[in-house]
Amino acid sequence: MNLALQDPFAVAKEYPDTLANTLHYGHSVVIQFNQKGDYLASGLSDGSILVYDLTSNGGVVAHLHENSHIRPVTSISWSRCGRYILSSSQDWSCKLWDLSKVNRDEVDVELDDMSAVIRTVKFDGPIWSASMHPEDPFNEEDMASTAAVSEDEPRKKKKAEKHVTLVTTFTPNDGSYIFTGTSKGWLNVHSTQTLQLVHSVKMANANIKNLVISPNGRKLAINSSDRIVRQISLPDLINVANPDEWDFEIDHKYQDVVNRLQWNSVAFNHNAEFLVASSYGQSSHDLYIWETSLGSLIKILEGSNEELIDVKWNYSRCTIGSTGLDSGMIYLWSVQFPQKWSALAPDFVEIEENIEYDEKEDEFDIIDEVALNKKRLEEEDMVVDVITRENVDARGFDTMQQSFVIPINYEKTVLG
Amino acid sequence: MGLEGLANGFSDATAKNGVEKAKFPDLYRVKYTLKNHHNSSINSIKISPDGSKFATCSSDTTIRVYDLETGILITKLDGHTKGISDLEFSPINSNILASCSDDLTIRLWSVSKKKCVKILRKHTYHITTIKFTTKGNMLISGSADETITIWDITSGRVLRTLAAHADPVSSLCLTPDNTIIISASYDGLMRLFDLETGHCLKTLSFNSTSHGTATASTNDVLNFPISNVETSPNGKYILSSSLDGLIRLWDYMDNKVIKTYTGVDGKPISEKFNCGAHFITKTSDAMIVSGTESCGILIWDVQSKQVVFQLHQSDEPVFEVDIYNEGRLLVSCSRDGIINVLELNEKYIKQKRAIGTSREETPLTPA
Repeated sequence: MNLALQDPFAVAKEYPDTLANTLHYGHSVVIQFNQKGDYLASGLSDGSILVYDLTSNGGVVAHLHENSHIRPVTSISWSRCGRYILSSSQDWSCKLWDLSKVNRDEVDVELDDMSAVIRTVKFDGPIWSASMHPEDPFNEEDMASTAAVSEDEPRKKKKAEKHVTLVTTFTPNDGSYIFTGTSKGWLNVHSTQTLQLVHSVKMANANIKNLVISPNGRKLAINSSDRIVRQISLPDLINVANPDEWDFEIDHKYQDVVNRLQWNSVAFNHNAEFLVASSYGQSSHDLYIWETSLGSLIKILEGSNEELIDVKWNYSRCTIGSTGLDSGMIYLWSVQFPQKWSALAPDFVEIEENIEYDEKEDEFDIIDEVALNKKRLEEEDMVVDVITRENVDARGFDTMQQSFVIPINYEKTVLG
Repeated sequence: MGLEGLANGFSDATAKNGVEKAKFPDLYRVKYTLKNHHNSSINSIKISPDGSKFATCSSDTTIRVYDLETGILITKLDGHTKGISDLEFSPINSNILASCSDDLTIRLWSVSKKKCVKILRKHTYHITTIKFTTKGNMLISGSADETITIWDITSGRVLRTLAAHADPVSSLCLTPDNTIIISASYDGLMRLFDLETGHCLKTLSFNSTSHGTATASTNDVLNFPISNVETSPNGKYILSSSLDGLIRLWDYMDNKVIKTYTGVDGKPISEKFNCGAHFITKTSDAMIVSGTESCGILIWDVQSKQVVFQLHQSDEPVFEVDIYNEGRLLVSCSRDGIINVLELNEKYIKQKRAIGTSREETPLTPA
């Protein structure tokens, strides 16, 4: 509700422009915002996971370290309700965490049960990414994972010969398909139900490093090691049931023609109108934002002093987060709201330039107070609805969404 | 239901004739009354979010926690060295409560362990009011040192101090989405702050006269101290109690008072004390309940502004009221140390609309 009282021009901004905050506890290698956008999970190089609360200026609300990964975390995925986190790691395992089990008292639980891990799946190689099914986090078969180095086939994935599957993602909303990218530049689409390969198309001649589908399911970004991010308009996967009719058409190719930089990571905003990418190399410290309909570069986010690796877009808060390679810090860019000084004094207004003031005819008339009060009271006959809430905020995001609240141990602090 | 006749708008007759009668004398019935538990005045009373218990705090420096159903004392918490002004349960954990005192500390208590688990020190004068955010990770305190402090409970650190009032801060509330803090002060102003940035978004004040400025220190402008603020359940309106004895409902987007509530027979509601007020939405028409200085507990119909219920046991001021389950239960505490627990008469409970229109609470927070 604060947005309704802020400067409407600042609220209407669709992408962040200012480095607002940095978070530095441990060496973060991967980050992910939850669906509602109030928590940020950070995977550390020591294998543990930190959860920050973005509403309290980035206070740490949970540190998942009991029975955690023993090698760097490679990906984090939140369940839609915000209660579960799926993490993958270079230690050849994926773990599913239940956040309702964090911050408990030792006396309340058995010591060997302090961990919030409710499920661990071991693979035969390091895991590059794991994503949670959008609707059904408990169906273990639906936790798609990719083992990149391993020659062994991951348990629910058919693998094209000699190709090594590098990245996977679910289609948003219903999660009925799994998109995978291979080391030879092929994009494969599997049905989530049958795990059969339903469509396969060659998109590039090099490794596919990232596959990102926009939250509205309209666009796909493929980041490959040939230094190009390809933006693809997705066919209607729900209504066009025959995979053979799907057409993956490339809208735009984004590349840095001057410096020939590779892109580390890419992310869409909520309606796929903007795409952000972090760039590879010690000399580049910035994030690039493109407008996706015309493919033009519209903003370079500066402020970090190091190469940025992971990049994620927080939709409802209009914030972009990214991790630094050297320091492991998390950088958060967002929209800054100016303080309106006239808000402190209701009868003052801020003006751009001097204006000639015309006194109103009745401005300093002395009105009988009793009569005035009576008039005021008589005007109070409107019907007020004190119960019905607004469904959307000033940016158009759903405000009725219920999201899990991480419990707090009031007797001690998270980072002891 | 017979409630339809109420929504007729402002009725001139009641204000003039002064023969106002409570419309629904059987709206609430007293479930039980507790007397002589505290040795001094009870300043605040709060029901735990799970509805199992309620807690009271008193000028005798103690907090007492009772079973809500039976009124049996569960525990007594000692530790403050001066009178306690306000207390609040953690919204995510009914075992934890916070209290603020004239001894300049805020304390967090574990009810089951009967001990203080955290002490927050920062204010330099009496702390008058505290509020948790809905996620229970932040606490906001208002003090007679004229500042508002935002605490991060998980780290125990001060996130921000808001110093924008010129007199003691008397009351605080948050919009349901936890983005705006509304503060009330004896300087006669209500300020709306953005919780995250700490920016002041808006200032509301009520001028009795049509001219003069609200914030300028001219003698001819008199802003009555604001003693209590509360947001409507949808967060669109603010209910303010001020020491001119009136309660006002504000449309803060519009900077306008849209309803004014007066005491029985036009008498002031409170001119000296901070008496808490809340919205009751369990009834088919929304209502407002408030403690008063000398008329016990009063309940108004939001639309018609008429007093529909009064519980008048003594002429002592009722300092605080709290509700549970949208007003199904009502508790009150008063200066003479009396606690009342009231129950809403079932015949006034709003009938559930068609399935799907009313949102049931989903148990996302672990018990």
